[in-house]
Amino acid sequence: MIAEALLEVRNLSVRFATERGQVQAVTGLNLTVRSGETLGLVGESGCGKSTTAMALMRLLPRTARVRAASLRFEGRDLLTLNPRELQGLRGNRMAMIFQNPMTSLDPSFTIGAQIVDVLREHRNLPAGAAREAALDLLRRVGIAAAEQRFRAHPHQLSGGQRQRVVIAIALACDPSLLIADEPTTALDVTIQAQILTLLRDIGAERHAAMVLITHDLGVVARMCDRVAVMYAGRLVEEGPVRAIFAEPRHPYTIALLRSIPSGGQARGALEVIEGTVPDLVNPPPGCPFAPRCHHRMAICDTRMPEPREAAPGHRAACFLHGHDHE
Amino acid sequence: MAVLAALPSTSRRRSPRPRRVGAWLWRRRTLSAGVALIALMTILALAAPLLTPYSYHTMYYDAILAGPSRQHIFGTDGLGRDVYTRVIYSYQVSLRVAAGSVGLSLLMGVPLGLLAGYWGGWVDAALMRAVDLLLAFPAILLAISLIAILGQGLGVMVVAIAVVYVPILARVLRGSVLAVRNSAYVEGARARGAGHGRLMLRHVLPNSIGPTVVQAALLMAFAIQIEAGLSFLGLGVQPPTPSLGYMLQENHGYIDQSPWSTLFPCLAIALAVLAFNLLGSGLRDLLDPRGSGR
Amino acid sequence: MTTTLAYCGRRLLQAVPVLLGMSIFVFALIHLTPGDPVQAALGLNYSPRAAAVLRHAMGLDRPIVAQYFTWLGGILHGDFGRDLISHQPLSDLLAHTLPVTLELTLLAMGLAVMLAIPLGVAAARRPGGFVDRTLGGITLLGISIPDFVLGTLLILLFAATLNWLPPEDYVPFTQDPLDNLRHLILPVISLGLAQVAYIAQTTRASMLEVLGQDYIIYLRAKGIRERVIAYKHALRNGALPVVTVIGVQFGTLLGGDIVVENVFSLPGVGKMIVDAVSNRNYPIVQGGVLVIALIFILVNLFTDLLYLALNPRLSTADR
Repeated sequence: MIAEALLEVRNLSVRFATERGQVQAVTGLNLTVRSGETLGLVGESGCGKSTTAMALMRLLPRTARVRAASLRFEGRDLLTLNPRELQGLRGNRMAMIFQNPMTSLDPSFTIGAQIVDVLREHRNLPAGAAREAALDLLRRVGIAAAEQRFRAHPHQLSGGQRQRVVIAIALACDPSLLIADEPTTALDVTIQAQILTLLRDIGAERHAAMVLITHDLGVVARMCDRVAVMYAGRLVEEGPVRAIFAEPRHPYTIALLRSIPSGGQARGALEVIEGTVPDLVNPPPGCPFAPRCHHRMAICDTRMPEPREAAPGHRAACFLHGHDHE
Repeated sequence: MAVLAALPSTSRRRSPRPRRVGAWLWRRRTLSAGVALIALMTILALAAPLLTPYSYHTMYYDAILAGPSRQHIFGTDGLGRDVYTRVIYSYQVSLRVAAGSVGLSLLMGVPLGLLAGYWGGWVDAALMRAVDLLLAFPAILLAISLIAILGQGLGVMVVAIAVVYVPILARVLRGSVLAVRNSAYVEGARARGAGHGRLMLRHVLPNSIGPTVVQAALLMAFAIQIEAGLSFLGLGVQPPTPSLGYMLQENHGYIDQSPWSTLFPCLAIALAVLAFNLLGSGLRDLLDPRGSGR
Repeated sequence: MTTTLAYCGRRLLQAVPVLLGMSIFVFALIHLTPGDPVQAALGLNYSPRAAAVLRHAMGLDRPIVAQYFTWLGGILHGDFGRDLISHQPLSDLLAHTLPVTLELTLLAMGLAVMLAIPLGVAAARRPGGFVDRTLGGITLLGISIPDFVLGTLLILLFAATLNWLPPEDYVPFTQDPLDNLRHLILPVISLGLAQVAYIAQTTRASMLEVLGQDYIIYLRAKGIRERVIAYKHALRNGALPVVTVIGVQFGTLLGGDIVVENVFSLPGVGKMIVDAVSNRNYPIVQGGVLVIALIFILVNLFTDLLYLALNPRLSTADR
């Protein structure tokens, strides 16, 4: 099954100019997504996962400097496409779902109109056919009374319903890649499970690959085939979900997994990771996690570890694994 | 703003802290320009007799509608009077009307706005109802109506414009007072036993007066426009006192023969209005540097 | 749908006290203005007995409240009073002057809006860019040069010096449409420039705020074209402040009409009022002010209804 990767990212870096100086939000990121697979992208707030997602869709503002050795989607280099071509891809071949359903939809237009417009933009359907397709989509994502909701405005729907609409819009043109940036974080716990199930079912149904961005490892366990862990703008570990959960290699991943409160812990303090994330304006040399790492070695403060294979299909960026000590 | 919150905020890098006063003034160049122009106009107006070679009503029959020359740097008007002199003296009127009307309206509007915002309740509701009524009129129409009742002249014009402005200033102040009234330091002062009067005057007012001052500056710009307009219509300052608006009216008929007699008063009006607009704009930037827009 | 009607009804009801207050103010005008209308009317034929007769005939000896209601009743029947000097009914005068003022005002506002909104949108899409800086320049000019001063300058340039356009007078549209427009070009520009400045700045500010919203990025993620995003979505969502400022500026425009009509000798309501004030022709002042106030209130009502159409939250129940 050596299919060409659907999405291939080599050496992605994103830099922002801010009041405090240049912020290196993402550095040296390598990622591969194959068709139909679900990749989880995990890390704490500010680690660069959302920035990466936006960079993939080429949605970052002009003040962001995006560089990569290659950024290929469906065989095309996204960095060389002009705005028109990019616009043709977005919403069509690659779609994105954002975190906050309350602010994702245009408040002045009806739900139906917002689904129809993406259909008409990319598929050029006549109004009648677009309307039918939109209604079908609404029903598929589990919106009851689709005809009535079609004419409703966003403020008349609940958060969960709005997110379903967002999913409907994202899948309207049958994209091969769906990027979901924390799709359930802003929802009630009871709704979260429903939405995730919906995403998984629809994704499988349409053979869409999915990049699921989250800080919740539980979601990753449930939804993803592979997972990539980010820290301070870099990829620190990547591999199949089972392998990562069973045998995490990078100290950060280990600490993350340990800090999840488990049902069995009736008492005792929660495990925390001491220290704070490094300053992205003036990153120290060496491994960004070194100051907080229990396994810190001298080399960690001076040299940057690159992701190396620690096991088949399982990479980690740590001098503990797969590196020749120099 | 969840999506954007995930990205670092971006903006142009701030310039390094300036050391010289000049640089400080340059960064607030709108304000500096406005203040400089107003200072210039005030000096001109106050020192008018010293700066003008002629008096403003002497007619030189041999130089009617003359263009700019060494004797008359702005030329002369239809009756042979030196335009430069008349413009300078007119600034006295403009500045008096601007300062007088806005000053008077502040006198009446500030207490009104303060009370309305502070007390709230029916006082506020009644006041704002009255303000709404008043604001429904175009300002100049209201002024004209009042002038129709009270007669013409400088004093009446000042009062008329002041009356039009009171609701505007009261409303701006009321808005600020509402915002400040419940803030921590006011509560703190109240907890220390400050009475209402003290609270209002020492704590609430100084912290809410900002936007009102900005509005006052802008209203001075507008007052100069209204004065010029009313004088142009013959409803404002009466001759022989010179007024920029009236000069426009007088020389309107001679536009074909001598553009200068109307050009210079026009430029003088525009300059005066510009000066106060710059002042207001500069004050606004000073008091709220994080404001939206430029 | 019922909420829409309810909102309309509420706004209309709110307008009534404003209208009444306005009418009382205008009515008070004549009773506060100095001079005795009876004396002015009789002139040299004044005698106490003739005065008493005329006073009775004019209804001036009745209590003020009764006079007010008579006057109000007259207004509702279309009788706005009579010119003190020529005894012409004001409604006749208005029939001639109102169209002039309306044409001037609507053309000026229409032109301003057509220019200002695209300018504001373009400026917001590229802050600091060419359009934005040009707009800044226009704004500075627009708010610093009063409309009648601009009018005078335009006359200076285009009429007196270049002789391209007529400096004054009015030609009715029905008589000669082209000439009508020729005569209105300069007045419309004088009034319109300041409005372009205000409306464009408001549009720009509103658009800047809207363009920073999440749903705009989401629209891009859907692959919607930039132009569609700016003009269909952003403008629609940012329209409210713009509509507000247009409504408010209408009042300023009506005020500006008054002076500009005098500059260009256009026989409109403004000129009528000013002439009447100079001649102490108070019924005209009264009626004219009332008419302008009425126009302004109607515009405000229209603006409020436009709000309704633009803001779906008002016409539908929140969940």
